[in-house]
Amino acid sequence: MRLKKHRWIKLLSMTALLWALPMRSQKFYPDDPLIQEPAPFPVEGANFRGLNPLYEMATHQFGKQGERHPANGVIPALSTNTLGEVMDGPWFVNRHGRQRLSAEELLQGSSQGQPPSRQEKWHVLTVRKYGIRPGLLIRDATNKLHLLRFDPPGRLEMSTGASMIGSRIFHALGYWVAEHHLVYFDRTQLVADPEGEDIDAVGGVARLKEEDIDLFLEKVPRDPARGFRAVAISSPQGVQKLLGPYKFDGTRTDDPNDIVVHEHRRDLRGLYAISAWLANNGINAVQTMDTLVEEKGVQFIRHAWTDFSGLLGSGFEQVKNPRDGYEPLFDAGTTLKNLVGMGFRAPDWQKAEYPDIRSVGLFESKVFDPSTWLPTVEVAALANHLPDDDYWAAKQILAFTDEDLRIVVKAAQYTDPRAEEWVTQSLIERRDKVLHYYLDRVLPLENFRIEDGVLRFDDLAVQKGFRSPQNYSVQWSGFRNLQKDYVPLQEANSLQVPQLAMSSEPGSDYAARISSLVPGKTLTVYLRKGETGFKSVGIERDWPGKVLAKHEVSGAKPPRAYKDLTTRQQGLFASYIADYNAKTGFAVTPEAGYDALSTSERTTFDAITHALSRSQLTDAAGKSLGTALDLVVGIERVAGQYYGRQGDEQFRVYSQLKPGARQILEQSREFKFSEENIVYHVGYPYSYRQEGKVPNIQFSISEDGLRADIDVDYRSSKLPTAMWNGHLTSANSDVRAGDNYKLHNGRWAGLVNWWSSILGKMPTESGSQAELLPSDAPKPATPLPPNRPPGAQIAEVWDATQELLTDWLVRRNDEASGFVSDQALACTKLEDGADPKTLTSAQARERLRQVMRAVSNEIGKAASLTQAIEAVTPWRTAFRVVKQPFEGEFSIVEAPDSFAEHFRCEGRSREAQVRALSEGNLRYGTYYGAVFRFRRGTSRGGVLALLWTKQGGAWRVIAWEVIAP
Amino acid sequence: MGSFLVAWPQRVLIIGAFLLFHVTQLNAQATTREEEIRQQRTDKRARLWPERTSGIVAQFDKYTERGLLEGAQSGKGNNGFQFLLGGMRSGNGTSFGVGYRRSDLWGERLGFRTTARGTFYEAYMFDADFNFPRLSTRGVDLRIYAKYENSPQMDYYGPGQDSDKENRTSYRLEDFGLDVKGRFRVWKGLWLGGTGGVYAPNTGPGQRSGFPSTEETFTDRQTPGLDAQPDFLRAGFTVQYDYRDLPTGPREGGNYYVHFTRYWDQDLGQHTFNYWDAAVEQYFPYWNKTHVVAVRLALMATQAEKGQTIPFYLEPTLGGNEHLRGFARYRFHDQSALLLAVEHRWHLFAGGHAAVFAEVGKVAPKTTQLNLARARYTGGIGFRFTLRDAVFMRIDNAVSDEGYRFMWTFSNVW
Repeated sequence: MRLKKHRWIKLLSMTALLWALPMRSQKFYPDDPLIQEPAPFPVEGANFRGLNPLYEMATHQFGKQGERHPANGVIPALSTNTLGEVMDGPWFVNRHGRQRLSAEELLQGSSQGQPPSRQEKWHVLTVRKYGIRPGLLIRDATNKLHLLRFDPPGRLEMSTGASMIGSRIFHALGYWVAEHHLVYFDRTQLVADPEGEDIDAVGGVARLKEEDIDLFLEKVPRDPARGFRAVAISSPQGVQKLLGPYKFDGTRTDDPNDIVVHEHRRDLRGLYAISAWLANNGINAVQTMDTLVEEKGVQFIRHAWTDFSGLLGSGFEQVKNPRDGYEPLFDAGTTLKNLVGMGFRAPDWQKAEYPDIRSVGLFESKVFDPSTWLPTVEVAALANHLPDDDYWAAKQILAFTDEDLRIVVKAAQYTDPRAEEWVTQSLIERRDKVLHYYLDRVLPLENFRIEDGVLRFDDLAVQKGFRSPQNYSVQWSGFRNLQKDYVPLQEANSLQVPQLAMSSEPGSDYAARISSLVPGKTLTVYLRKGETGFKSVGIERDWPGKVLAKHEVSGAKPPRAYKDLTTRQQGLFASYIADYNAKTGFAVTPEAGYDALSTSERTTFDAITHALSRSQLTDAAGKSLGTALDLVVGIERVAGQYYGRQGDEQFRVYSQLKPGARQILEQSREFKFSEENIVYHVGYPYSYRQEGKVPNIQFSISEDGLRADIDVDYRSSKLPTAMWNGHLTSANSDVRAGDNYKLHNGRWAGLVNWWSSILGKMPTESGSQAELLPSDAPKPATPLPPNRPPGAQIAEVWDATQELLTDWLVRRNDEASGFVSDQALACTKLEDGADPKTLTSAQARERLRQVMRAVSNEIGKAASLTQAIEAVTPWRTAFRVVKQPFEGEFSIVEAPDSFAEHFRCEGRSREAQVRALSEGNLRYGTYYGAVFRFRRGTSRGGVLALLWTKQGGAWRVIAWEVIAP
Repeated sequence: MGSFLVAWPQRVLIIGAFLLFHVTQLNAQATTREEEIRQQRTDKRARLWPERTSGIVAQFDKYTERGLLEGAQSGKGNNGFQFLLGGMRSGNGTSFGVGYRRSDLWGERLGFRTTARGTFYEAYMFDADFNFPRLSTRGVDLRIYAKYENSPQMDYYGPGQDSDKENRTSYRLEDFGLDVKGRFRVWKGLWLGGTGGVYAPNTGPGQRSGFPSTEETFTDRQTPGLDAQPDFLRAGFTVQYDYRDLPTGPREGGNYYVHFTRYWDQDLGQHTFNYWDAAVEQYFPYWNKTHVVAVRLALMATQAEKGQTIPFYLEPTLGGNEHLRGFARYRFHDQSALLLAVEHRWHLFAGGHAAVFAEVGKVAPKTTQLNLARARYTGGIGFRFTLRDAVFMRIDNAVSDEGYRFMWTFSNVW
């Protein structure tokens, strides 16, 4: 009994302990893998946000919207469950790929409602003749709205056919799609609504007349037998409001459920493979639509597709161009090749054969090659596609059989049977090519299960007949979910589940790493033991060369913390966090909240509040009105750098103002009402700009005067200068950009440049440097003496150098700063560019420590000095190289006294240094230089030179400098 | 004592676990994936911000709703105000200006466009164009066009194929024309039409520095129309078969035309004549129209009755940005001209293509003298920039036995 009791207590303790330990860091949760996203949060007050197709095309072609994979690795898709699948939710619902749709469901697509009712005439509400997407907006007898889109002249059935087919396929794939119904009608079916609008050639709106409809229809092709043909597009049931297209980068700022930036959503990245298949070469955000829907009493935003007229052989309102899908809008290399080829260079796509069927347009499958397919303009989500994203898309495409595609093509109702046959056959062949290419870029293994103690799975490539079965090797490990590490199981390297796993307790996790013959192409499946057997809880697919990018928070943290803020800044930020906690129910401390800000958000908050605090306000009589910061009573939001957002949505602080703030600005001599914001600073119409040259503060104030968007303009807003000085770019308000920091301190002294560490200023690739020659670093690590205690007497300068650098870069403790004399602290101030009066010695020493910590964090853990640095030898003979045991890591040179005097931090002069080196009768023996280059992984960092001398019998660094090329 | 009589280590474990559990609850740690997602949404909800259409997008919408792309394809520009480059007589500087177009007045019964342009060399042009779009859809084109242009730096080298390059002179041509042009489509691309109007020219001393004015070098006898310029009535007919796929950037089809205009001298009784302008343009595409061989054979001929002469400023010319490009503008003047041009055009990128070209041309007093004897040859390479396949800008480089020419113009060659 006692034993049982003890066992029960032990179990309870273990369970409690397990439950109590920090769950946030575990890899798998008990409810993994999620099939469906949690119920959405309600959305309130969402506004329409329009996009323009030309603007989207231009910004994506000539700019890089969204966050892209960094140079050091890739960012995996973030919107998936632990199996790599997209969860059902407002973006995507697993349909045909999970459970086959019937023929009727395939043909019907999303159009479960009725086509426009013909009980009465259709009331035309809007005629749009001149825009990029002309069409008619009608209302039918049931009061439902439909947008009628037509084919371009001479191409009857081309665009409408593509729309019908595309909408069915996208719906079956799982995307949310507007209803698409194909309609034929006569002119008599239409009547101008009394409230109808005609949009004229300059965008003006006039009362709609019948002849406006006639004029529109004159330009539309007509089937002689059946009349006008159009696709009627309407919102599915439940849609309450249209909110405008969604972007392929960023998130909607008014949607609490939109938490994954779109460029990292798998369902959007997967559009790369899908767009290749369906020839959606000109994929553009304006093909989509965010809709406000209500389900189960909750309003939320659903993200849908509405425009498929650019698919297959159709290029929206004209036939596709033969280069679509093969060349981007502009690429310098390709253009040069084409030029030099003088017309004789003809890639295969130029010779592709297209059918002479006008309703098909330019759509074929023989030349198409998914490995070289390119969208016309690479939107952010497509640019980020990875092999596992493509694999996911290929799996969805795999669900479409030949017969499925035949059914779907029937939705187009082509008059010419050749068109139907051609499109069907092309879709089938393109599908096969896409699958052949994308399916096998990772291990296409699915449906993991344990049968008779053996791990079994399906090989999709074999099932599809793309290759024959191959052997895989397996390595089993125990998996510790909380620690996220593996415990290799000895001799467990077959598909046979290890006995240890078979007999383990429920709740145990195991990982089976499956490898193919291709190095790097592996798959790890995570299995959790349950009461009745094993269940897959996770899958990770790797491919050759895959390296995950380091997440920002795991890298070097900026050497700036909440405690470094002024009292006023802390007060403002604390109130912001208090407000955040009130909204979320979290208990975040201001320190943690500040730490969670990105670097750009911190620099923005710092620079703007600093500028505000240094800006005195006085009235016409000279009487003080306080500082500009006194007008601010709270912070609503700090906007840092956001990929893809306009300049006036980045690098600013959205604030609450005290009542009367606008009046104070009106009274002040320092600010002037400049203009009403019409294009930028939406929602803040009143602009008050600080007088004087740039940089200056701009208050953009809301209608009620209680809120403001505050930013600092570092570049002139006056035309024509503003057109090309970057004022209209986000760099205008970024204190880190260009020489903005110097400009800031020129007007508002005292802002410390904490964000730019030594490494931030150093070039990462040295190239050839004017003054120095690199030497080769020895491969094996140079043995180092044991750590000397602080204050130990060190006889030789190279030993002192070694001790400093080892403490700094290997042991990573603060003892290194003990070697730095107070004289050298002035170099810290120099490095900052800050007014020397603004930093005390203690501040400068602390600043130096912060910088040293940042550098060592950036380099990362080095097991030896040899890993962290390599020697660099000055070539000037005036520097006498000293032989010493650490020649692989750093050079020691005797520096002439006259040179050293001009190398000191105070009064440093480059010209005087060079002059000194050219003098005769140089004196040595007092100063020594240590010169080395940082190593960062496999790349080489910048060069640092330390100047040593003895002070009070101890070696001290009295100056240092980053050597620029 | 039951389950509470536990050994001390286990008790610590339980209490410790409880405390730890309590602490983690205070920090709202997620224990399920759903909870993690909800926490992320909660965080986002605390930082929501209204979405709005950006001002730049609104500006773009304004232009794209004005038929910008249709205007690019037609060459007439967008509706509303336009900023213009080019479009004036060449040789008088880079022209720029503003225009205003409406294609939808009076229920698209009336289209209107007016422009004002100029150059830094004091050349000006004002024009107004009225057309009737609704008639166009019924196969009828009617157009009223008025233009005033002042070109102070027109070049003249003297008459004939053998004019000397060293004899370059400059004159000012100022003219006003008002014409009504109408045509109707007989069948598919076949049009028949007529034109009638007035034309009032005026010449004067040229302003091109470094070159003498034309009247200082040539006489009225050599250069008819130099001393005095009458007003003209003019009328004619046109026959055209045009089946090009896109006239502003053709890659397929052909364009064959004959334009005839008779000029009646209203004042001097000296310059009544006929003007014939005929051409055959053919486009041979291959490789999905990414490559085109374009051929043009053009004949311009004038006829004057006895006692009448062709004023030099209305004579056919060769040389310049459109024909015999290796030669200076208006290099060759005479009463008739023949040009044969061949271009091979090929795709460069989405917005442009390249072309190599060769041309041969000759001017002569009579059409019977138009042959290859003493014809002038030229060739070169060029780049054309397109919007929706319509050429809006061209950079050509051409060479001839008179040197090299670089051309930057805002029109297609043909």
